[in-house]
Amino acid sequence: MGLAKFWQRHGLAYLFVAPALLGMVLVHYGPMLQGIYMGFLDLKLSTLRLYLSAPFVGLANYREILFDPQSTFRTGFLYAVRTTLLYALVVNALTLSLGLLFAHVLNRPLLLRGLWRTLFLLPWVVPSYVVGLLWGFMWLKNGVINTLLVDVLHLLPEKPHWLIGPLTFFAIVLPTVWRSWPFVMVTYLAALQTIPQELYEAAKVDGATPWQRFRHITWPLLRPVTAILLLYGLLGTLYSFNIVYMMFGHGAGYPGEWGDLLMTNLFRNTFGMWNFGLGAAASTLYMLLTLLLILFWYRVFREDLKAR
Amino acid sequence: MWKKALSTLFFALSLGLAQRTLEVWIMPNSAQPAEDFKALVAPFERANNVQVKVTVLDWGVAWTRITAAATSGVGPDITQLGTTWVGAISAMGVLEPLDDVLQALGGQNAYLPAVWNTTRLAGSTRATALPWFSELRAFYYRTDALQAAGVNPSQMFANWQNFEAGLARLAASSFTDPETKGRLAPLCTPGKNSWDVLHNAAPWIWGAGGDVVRQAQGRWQSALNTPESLQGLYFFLSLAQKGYVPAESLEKNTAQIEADFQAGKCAVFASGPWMIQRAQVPEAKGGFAERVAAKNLGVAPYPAGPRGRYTFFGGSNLALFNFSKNKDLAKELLKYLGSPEAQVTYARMSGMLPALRAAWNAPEVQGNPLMRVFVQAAQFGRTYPTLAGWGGVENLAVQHLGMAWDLVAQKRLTQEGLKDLMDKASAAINSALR
Repeated sequence: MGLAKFWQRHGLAYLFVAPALLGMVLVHYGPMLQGIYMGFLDLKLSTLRLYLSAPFVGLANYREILFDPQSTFRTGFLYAVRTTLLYALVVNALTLSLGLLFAHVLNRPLLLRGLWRTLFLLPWVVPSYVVGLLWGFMWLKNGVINTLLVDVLHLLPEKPHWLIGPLTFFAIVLPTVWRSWPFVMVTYLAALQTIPQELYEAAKVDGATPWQRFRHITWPLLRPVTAILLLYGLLGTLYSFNIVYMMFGHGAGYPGEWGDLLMTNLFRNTFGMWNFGLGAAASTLYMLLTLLLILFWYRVFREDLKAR
Repeated sequence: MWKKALSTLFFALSLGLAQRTLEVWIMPNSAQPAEDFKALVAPFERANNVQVKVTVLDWGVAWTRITAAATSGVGPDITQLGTTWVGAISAMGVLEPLDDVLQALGGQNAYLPAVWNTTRLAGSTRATALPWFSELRAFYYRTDALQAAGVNPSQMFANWQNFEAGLARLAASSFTDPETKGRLAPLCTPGKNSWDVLHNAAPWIWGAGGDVVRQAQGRWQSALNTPESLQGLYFFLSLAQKGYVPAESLEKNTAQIEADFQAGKCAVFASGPWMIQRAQVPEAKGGFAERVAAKNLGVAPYPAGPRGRYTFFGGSNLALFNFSKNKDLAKELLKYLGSPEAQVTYARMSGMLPALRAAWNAPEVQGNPLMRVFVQAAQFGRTYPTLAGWGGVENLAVQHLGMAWDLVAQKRLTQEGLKDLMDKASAAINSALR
């Protein structure tokens, strides 16, 4: 096909796409490339006025983050990578399980089913920064959670510090799960309703147990939805910021090594310490790490994502 | 006829256009920041046929907005700067020298040395910021609680030993708040979750002869791990570990601790002069005038340490960007805002102490016995050096002091553990200062 003919046939489509593409380049890819370039500069407060003509230091920022044992930036960054990966794993495992479980329950004929669905959906409606703020108060030593655990239910001998020390990890995981699972539930509920009942009836006739029906019918048919939910959840947790920032951000903003996620760590170190070069390099590394995880995800779910 | 009318109209229009505009960025320093500031500058506007346009920046975004203005050259004529920001913004080379303005207001002698130090980048001969108002810390105490425990405030706040002994007596006292019927914690102080972690620790570090940073061989270096700094820090932190500070305080921020004191939960706590104003304002307007704490309010300066008596001295300055198109007029506004009358007016609005020494003689300040204690405490005021890289230094100090508070909360604070943390802090700070 000649160029003229091609243009005649598809020109209008390209014309329509062009503004969006231009916008993407200006708003998205331009700043991204600029960010990657900043990672090679010695860009900090004293050189900020030079901005993109700040001294070029090559891979020095990357060397510091990856190999310099003296660097406190590196220590904090590595803690944050560890905590974030663990956080992503635990949060997604819990939200997917809880969401699937409750979707199953609500998929059955149930008294006041509509009311339950609405009630369960409520946490998802609360903005994440409000969740962080509220749970921040609830986790206080004399907060409602400790009162419930210790004074009312007598489950613990004394009131622990949830916002200090290793327990901080639970303090950030639980509110995230609390807020995230309803969305998973709704999505699974919609997916469950698309599975033809005849499949289950046929399986029943063949003598399949409920577990076998779940394993051989429900789960395989839910895999594409699971894949999307997992991707959505992974990206959400890997870039999670609001909950931790609101829970700890009012003060020193350092939640400790078990509460510091990558986004809060990068935010503090980049904008608090005015270490833009180092921060940009760390962000680039983080972007590569996320890309690797997404590639891994794609390999696992490649077959499920193909259109049937 | 028409020609005349037209030319008159043009003349009137050009006059209208000639009314100049000055743009000022401030932070929320008072209950109604924009309205209060407009009221403050109204006489200046009338006298100079000028319109002062004020934008209130939240403290959370102010730093970013101001530095963005500094790098881009697009911003207001005048901006408020936290005193600890002066060094960084001055070092960016975007501020107009203000020596003439300061000279017109009385020069160096018109200000306390601690305030004067904040007018310029450390070591510079050129002033780039005008002191606007001062923020300093002193201890607030409940007169009823101290009396019931048999503690004499002037003795308790004389030195560290007496301070601790006073806390011990308060801890043993059976006094209860008449409103809440609960016992009062001897001392309330936020732990790591407070924006002023370093300001809270600094008076103790200085009192023991230590420092946050100090100059050695012409270079600034961290002094947080010197024996003196560690001694001061350990004394302060161990007050909490000894149980004088309730464990739940340590995970609260400054605002929550203030609320605890106002609600009658604490006998002693450190804060700035704004609490005096709040004690006179009813709860419906953000104060706590109805509370027992407001009716039994006492103020005392920080107790003296083995190497002297110090208190954290902060506040805000005003600076003029060198890209301003109305520099002369802006300098007139600065002179007006730095004058004793405007200083007193704004101090009354904000609850802060005026920066100009002459303004302290005003009846608004001298007539209030609690405010007089702050004037007295100001003599012991000390500021951080206005280094270009202070922001990074402070963040690193805050982060590591926060970790020390974590140790306290877990009752695991030891002298060795503290030294280890401050060694790490110092390594990071030294690297940031390189």
